[in-house]
Amino acid sequence: MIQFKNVTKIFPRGVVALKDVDLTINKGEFVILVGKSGAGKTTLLKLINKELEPTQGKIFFEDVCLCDIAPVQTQTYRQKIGNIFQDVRLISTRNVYENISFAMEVMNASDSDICRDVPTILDLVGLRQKMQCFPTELSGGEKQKVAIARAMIHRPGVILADEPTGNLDVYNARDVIDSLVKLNDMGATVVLATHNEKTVNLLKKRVITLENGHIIRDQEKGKFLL
Amino acid sequence: MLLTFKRIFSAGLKNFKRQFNLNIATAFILSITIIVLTFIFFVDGLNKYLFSVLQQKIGITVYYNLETPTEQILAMKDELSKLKGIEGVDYTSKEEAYRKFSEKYANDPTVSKSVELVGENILPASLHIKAKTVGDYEAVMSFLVENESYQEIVNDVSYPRTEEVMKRIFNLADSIKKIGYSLSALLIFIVMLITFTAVRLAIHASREELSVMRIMGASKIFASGPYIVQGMIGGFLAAIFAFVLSLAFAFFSAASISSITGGFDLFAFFLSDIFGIVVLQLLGGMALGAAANALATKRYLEV
Repeated sequence: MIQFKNVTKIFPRGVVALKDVDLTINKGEFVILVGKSGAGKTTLLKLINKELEPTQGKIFFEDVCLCDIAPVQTQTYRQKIGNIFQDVRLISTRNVYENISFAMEVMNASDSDICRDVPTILDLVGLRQKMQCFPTELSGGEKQKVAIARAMIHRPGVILADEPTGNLDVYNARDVIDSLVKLNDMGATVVLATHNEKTVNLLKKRVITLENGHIIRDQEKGKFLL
Repeated sequence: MLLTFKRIFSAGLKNFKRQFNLNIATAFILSITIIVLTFIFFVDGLNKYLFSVLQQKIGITVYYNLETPTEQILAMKDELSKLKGIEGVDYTSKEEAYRKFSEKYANDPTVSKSVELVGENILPASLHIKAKTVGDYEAVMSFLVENESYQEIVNDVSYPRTEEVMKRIFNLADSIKKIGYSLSALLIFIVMLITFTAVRLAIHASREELSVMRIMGASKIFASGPYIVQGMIGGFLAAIFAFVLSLAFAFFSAASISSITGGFDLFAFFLSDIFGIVVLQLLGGMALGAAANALATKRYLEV
């Protein structure tokens, strides 16, 4: 589904974020990216999301090279992906309902579909009663749950989660990981970047370890190894 | 497409309400720009008024020999009226000149006594010629000089004596006009710079949200649209505020401005051009608000 072919990413000041990365992520896989800060995890996710362009090499999504996607078509491509960030990034001027419905609005979903799906997904993450609340009125865990609901509302084929539990307590972190596993069980491909050793070891999923922009380890049902 | 616009407009309206204080502050800055634009419009009106007053006060006066028949003078009037660039030619008969002179000096016993001593009307008939521009007076003079038959009946022409003064006055007025426009352009530039910077600072707080919207797959217009709508609403409110303020200014300062400028009625000017002013303020305000927000959001949409 996602394929990196000899991908290198060098930032303008000469910082090498990724070097000669070859990687294949199959449809429906749950992939965990681990590595120290600056190892290239976020860069890899941003490359998949087409927020960055590779300096060298090619990235394929469903056999289409991302380099062939014109800038105006990028939005359509991104609608196939759900993003979850460590810093949540909810829209502060919109309430919980509107934050989630926004993901459907960009796909031109009808008002009736939005009215039907948003409360359902809020039920799923247990936040229906907070539908009218604004992000400032939510706890960190609740915000992240809204972000997950927002990422999955339009049923994307791929979920990119960049340190989604980084700012959460163990209980909320567990909920977030459980949600990602559920999404994966429902057929979504999940790419999770994390520092959380316990999470990695508990999940027993494919683990890719990055170091200085290189993939140094790729294990099926792997463990967190330094 | 309609659904997209409906959603953009709805989000813009909600954003405006939810960030009311910030939006009102931005609208206030926008209103300063609109007020400056309106004042430039006022100054332009005043300038045109003063220019027209100046133009009305000058002209060429042709004085005829006392024995010149009226028919000949009127024939010349017709000829002059046909010249290009002539705004009007007024005929003053000998009798009318005498009447006006008598009226003017009715309270001056020395002049009245002198007139009595002369015993007859020695004031000549005349034609007062008004041209559209200073340059057009040259053509009138050429017409008078080139026709030898006219030289026999013309006693005096006032233009040669005032030619230099007229040119200087018009050149001065023209320079003032040009300087005024340049200063206005500079002022508009400065005020717009302040407006755009203020809007940019306000949008800066939303930079992450704009990039998230783009990452989520929103088109540029879908992400920035609500901010542009916010700007338009702000511009609309700013225009209303600017309208009320400029109307009040025109009403309360009309008397003093009229006395300073020798008759320019600012309030009458405001009312006579009210449609233009409303259109200028509303369109200017909304366009400025939309443009400022569109420009401010642009840099954060490149994700």
